[in-house]
Amino acid sequence: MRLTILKRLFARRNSRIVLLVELLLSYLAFFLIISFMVKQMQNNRYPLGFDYKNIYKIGIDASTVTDQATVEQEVDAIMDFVIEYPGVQSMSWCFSSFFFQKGYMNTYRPLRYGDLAIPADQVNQMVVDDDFSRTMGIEVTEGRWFEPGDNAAANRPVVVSELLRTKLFGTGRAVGEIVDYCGQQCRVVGVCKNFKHKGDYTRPEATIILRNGDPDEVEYETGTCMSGSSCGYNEFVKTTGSLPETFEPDLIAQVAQRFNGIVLTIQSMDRTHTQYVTNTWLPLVAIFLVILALFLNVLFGMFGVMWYNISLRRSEIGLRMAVGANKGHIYRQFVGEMVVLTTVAVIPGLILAAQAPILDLFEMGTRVYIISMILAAVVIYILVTTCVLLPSARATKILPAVALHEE
Amino acid sequence: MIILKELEKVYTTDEIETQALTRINLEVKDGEFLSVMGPSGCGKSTLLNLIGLLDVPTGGTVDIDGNHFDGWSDKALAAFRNEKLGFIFQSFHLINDLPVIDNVELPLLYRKGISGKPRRAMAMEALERVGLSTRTRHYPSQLSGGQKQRVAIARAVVGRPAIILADEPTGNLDSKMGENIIAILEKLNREEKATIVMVTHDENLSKRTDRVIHLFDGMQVN
Repeated sequence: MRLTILKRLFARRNSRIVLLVELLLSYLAFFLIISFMVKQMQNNRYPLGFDYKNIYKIGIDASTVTDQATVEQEVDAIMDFVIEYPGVQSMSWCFSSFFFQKGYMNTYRPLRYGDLAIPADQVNQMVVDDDFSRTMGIEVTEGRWFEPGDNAAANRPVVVSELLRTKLFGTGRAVGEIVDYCGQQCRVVGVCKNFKHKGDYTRPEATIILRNGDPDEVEYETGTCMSGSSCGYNEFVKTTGSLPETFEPDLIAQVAQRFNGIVLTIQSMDRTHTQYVTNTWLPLVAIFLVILALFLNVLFGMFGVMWYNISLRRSEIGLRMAVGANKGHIYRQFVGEMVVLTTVAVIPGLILAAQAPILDLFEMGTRVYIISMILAAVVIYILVTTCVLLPSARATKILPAVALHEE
Repeated sequence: MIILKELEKVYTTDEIETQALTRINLEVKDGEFLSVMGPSGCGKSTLLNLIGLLDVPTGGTVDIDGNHFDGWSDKALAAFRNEKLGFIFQSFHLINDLPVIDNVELPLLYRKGISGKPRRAMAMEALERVGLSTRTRHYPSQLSGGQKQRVAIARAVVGRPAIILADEPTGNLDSKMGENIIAILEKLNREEKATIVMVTHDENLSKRTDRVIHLFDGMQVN
């Protein structure tokens, strides 16, 4: 039966070429968009690694205050005020790329450990204070986080993420080792769990975390040699989660009232996260829907062609029923013809799509491409089969006695 | 044996009711070659459709080899047609996109237990019986009318059915081709004991059969 269907389709190949090309292009379009979606979902499997619920990013705008000494005093006072606000659990300072943004911070020079040198663009870095781990929920798996006693350390203390730990030390000891960062000899005091500061749909990056330090207060060197985009000074505040909705405007109003000329801005990390998820998925879903809409046009065309085709083949259907085909045979024949036609289009699509992992287009990884190739084929087959169900059902309702005697 | 008892068929539309057959009683013995004659519209094709289980009678019964078909499913009827009945039509009804050999194989595609090679062998044997074994790769558009009808006969007999129903098999052929066709049918009836029920307008052809019945306005007149 399958061979007969193939012969049938081959005999009418010229009339099917347009439909085949449409199916092939649709497959490739679905493959591409599904690849991006699968990549996002694959990355989402890695834990985020930090908290964002009940955490706020504080910004201080003191641009109208001209006296720099006053600004510094006022900022310290504001931070003291904020930490004392009912419901605030902890506060932390950070100089790095913002969370849930695509920014980066790398050094000018490679990170060195013995003879090993990791290129600058492969290491992300942050400069934080002692409360950062507690505030942002970053878990330490080896050693410890920074503490006030590090002020007296001869070497700048650093914490490395598990990814960077593996790159530098493999399975060997990490805590206590000395790494060369920006010409400074830094001591690893701890290893933390990987975290994805750019968001849920990215991969964790090898990260080195440096302890902040006032050069007047610490023994070690505090300089940095960093380059980056979207980086800056961030203050993060962790709350208990039981604060009323009026917390944000209330805090802003109180600061404005107490500190003349200084404006406080508060950004909920929860809302930032929601925005990030929306911004990530919205374009992908929109493109997917556009592709789907275009493919539905192809399906409508296929539906029409099949409907007309069945009208032309009434006597053939009547004949098949006369010689022993039941309704199930007729149904499967027409669905089978469309499935075979779709397969003839999908096979070159698979061959073309297979070039993506070979050429490592978009650097998504072979697994993503293979999953996407299969999913795109499944989507195409499901939609095609759904489209042909009604015309095929119509074919089964043809009365052979009538069809065989029509001229 | 085919037994028709009080067989009736009424076609009903929104506006019109047409009595195609009225109280037909008929017995066709095994191995009999029967002609059905009558003017256009008298119900000959309807009778053949009912015997061939392609339509459902409004009244009466159709009995073939002891089988009553009341309440049979579409699947069971299709299987019975495939095993026991072969059809030959006036307009041949060959599938133009398939070569001759595939057209002949068609009934065997719906029969369980026959795989590709035996199916092909049976189709070849059927074509040899009608003298067309050299035309297997031809398409119907490349054949003459007589050849097309011979292919149709091969298709009808490929599964060795007990009963062949022929609806004006020579209607679209000239006399010489028609003579060839009837000769093949006679041979099938004589040598393979196939029961043949043939609708025809041709009196000369009907005389070559074992028995003739006449229909007029849906009723049997002899």
